[in-house]
Amino acid sequence: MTALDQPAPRTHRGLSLPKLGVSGWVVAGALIVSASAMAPVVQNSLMTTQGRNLEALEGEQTALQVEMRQLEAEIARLISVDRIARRALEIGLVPGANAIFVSIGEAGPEPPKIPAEHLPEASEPGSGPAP
Amino acid sequence: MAQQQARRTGRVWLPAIAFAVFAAVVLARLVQVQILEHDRYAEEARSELYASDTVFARRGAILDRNGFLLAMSTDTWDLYVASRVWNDDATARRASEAIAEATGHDSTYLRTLVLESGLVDVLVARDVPYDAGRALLDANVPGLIGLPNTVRVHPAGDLASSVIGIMGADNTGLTGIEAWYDAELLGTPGRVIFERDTTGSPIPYGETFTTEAVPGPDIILTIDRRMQVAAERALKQAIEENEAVRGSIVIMDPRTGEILALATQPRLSFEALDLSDPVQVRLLRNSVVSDLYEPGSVMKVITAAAAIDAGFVTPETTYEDRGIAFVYGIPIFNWNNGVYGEQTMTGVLQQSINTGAVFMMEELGVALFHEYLEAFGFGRPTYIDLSGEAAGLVRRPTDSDWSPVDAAAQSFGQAISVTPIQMVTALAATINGGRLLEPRLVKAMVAHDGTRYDLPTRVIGQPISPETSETMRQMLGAVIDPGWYHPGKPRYYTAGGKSGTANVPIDASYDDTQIVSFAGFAPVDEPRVLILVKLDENANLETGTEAAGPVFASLVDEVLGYLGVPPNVEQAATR
Repeated sequence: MTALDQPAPRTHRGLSLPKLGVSGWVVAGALIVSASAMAPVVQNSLMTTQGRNLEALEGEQTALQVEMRQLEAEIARLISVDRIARRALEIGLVPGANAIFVSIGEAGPEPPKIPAEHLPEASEPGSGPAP
Repeated sequence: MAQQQARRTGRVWLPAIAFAVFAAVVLARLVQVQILEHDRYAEEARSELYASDTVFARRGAILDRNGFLLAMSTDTWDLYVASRVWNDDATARRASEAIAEATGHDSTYLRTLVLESGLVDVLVARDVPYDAGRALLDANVPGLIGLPNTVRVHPAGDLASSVIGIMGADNTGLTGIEAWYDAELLGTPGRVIFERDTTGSPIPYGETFTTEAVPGPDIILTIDRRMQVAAERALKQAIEENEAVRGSIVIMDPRTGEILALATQPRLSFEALDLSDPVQVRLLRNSVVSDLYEPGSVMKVITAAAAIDAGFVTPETTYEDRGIAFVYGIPIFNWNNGVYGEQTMTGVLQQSINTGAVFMMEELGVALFHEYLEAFGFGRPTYIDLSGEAAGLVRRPTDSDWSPVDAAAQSFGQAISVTPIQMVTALAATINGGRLLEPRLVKAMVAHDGTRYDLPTRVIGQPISPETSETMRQMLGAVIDPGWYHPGKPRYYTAGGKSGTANVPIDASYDDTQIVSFAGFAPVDEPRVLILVKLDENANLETGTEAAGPVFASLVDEVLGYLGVPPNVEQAATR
């Protein structure tokens, strides 16, 4: 049982602080205090910068939404019946005098591409649900 | 040296007790503030710390039945100037010139406006286009303040302006659909509560509580822009040709009560609207629902429908016209003083014989005749979704000013005042199987999330049977196709209809001026459209058949062609 009589080897050393002089500790303390004082300033500065960026992005988003609505209005103006009729006359088209109706076996042209939520349930105007 | 020992005393407890009492008071106060009245003080602290702002919802757009935009809101700025900043002349000059350049105002006018207003913040320009306003604000023009706003734009111009209506400066609807559906279009405003800094601005990454604004739903009208254009163009032309003062055209789907086009002339102009001009203010009223008129011979359709439905006459029933009928000793003549001899009831409508209408009314009796007028909706609003609707005037036997001749006059459209929309609604019932429908201008609403809500067709009565309705269709078809030329006969489609010419009543008598109209439908067997053309005070004094009939005929050809209805007149189909 010799081994049991041996002192256990040291497996853990105590925390050893660097050996600083008094002035070293003063400088370190001053650095810590300065860093602690600067941290909120830096944090505040970062937050302000990000806040500004956020504000700018929100402004950009608003501007884009406004532009989108302006474009919607512009498209609607460009496809107004009056304007199309005026442009048709400008390029030399004239109103048809005698309509000729022809029966064909094929399906008609595709309806205009407009947002689905705005399309009536029945594609044929005036064909609402009969009560 | 002997030391003197301090004598024991109780005075030391005095400050101790005083401190203890003070501590107890402080503790009590803390308990009161932090526990008992915690909520109140927390609320006060929040009110100091937090600010709130209203987020206005985007107003819904108005579209035609096929999804084409008729009215929508775009963003603008209302520009204010902080007048104190302009106390310095050089600053005022520089700033006013910058604003004037962007807004088109005169810079001198702006300076005078701001410096002489006596207000702190002075409104200098309303609804400035968004880009121009943004550029001004980004340029940091001294004293300039921009508040976001919206303005209603109408991409299709003044099309259907009397239906759409106008908005006030406070962005609420004043007339038309804008007013009737204002609460829906407005949406629900949102609210933002945020932590604020000393200037009141939100603190970045501070606590924020947001209730999102819910934009107003888009409103899909029953109006079809193509038919609206056709109606407005035809009406304008008819007014010019017949030298009329004003007029209106209504196109309805008689199966559903949906108004496909509603045109009035003169119409209001969104761009040139001047509410200080009384003439323009009158245009805000939609004459189709607000103005009363005597329908004249168009009313014979209702009289005939009632008499046939009650079983007193058939289209083949005959009577002898002598050109005059006496009612309680008062003579009633035909419109042209003509004498037609023996006539069927169909002939009465074809020739528009007043004595024939009186004959049918007398067969019915006054009480039953009035029951039918009631059933067809005369004398009460149709409840169409437009404000300012008139109920009409129907003199009844119970009225103090009732005359026994009134019922006879009512049978051919006098002594009764109706609105055009009432007349169209009643006529729809005579041809659609006898169902009285509530006319409507809105087909559906589409919420911001895309949910579509279709407004249902509302049947509000059954004044006549489906069999009578079928009979009326054939009779009215014979009116337009009598075997001789009729100006109201379309080229490509079978149609039925009836004209009306009535003098304008003035103080219990009649003026020289007249109101002419033509109401008809097509095709005869399965009506797709019902059209009323009405011209007021046409100086050329043409009758309803001559003045309004051709307008009806050309409109039928145009709109049924547009709807893709195959022509059913052999002559045209084989062209």
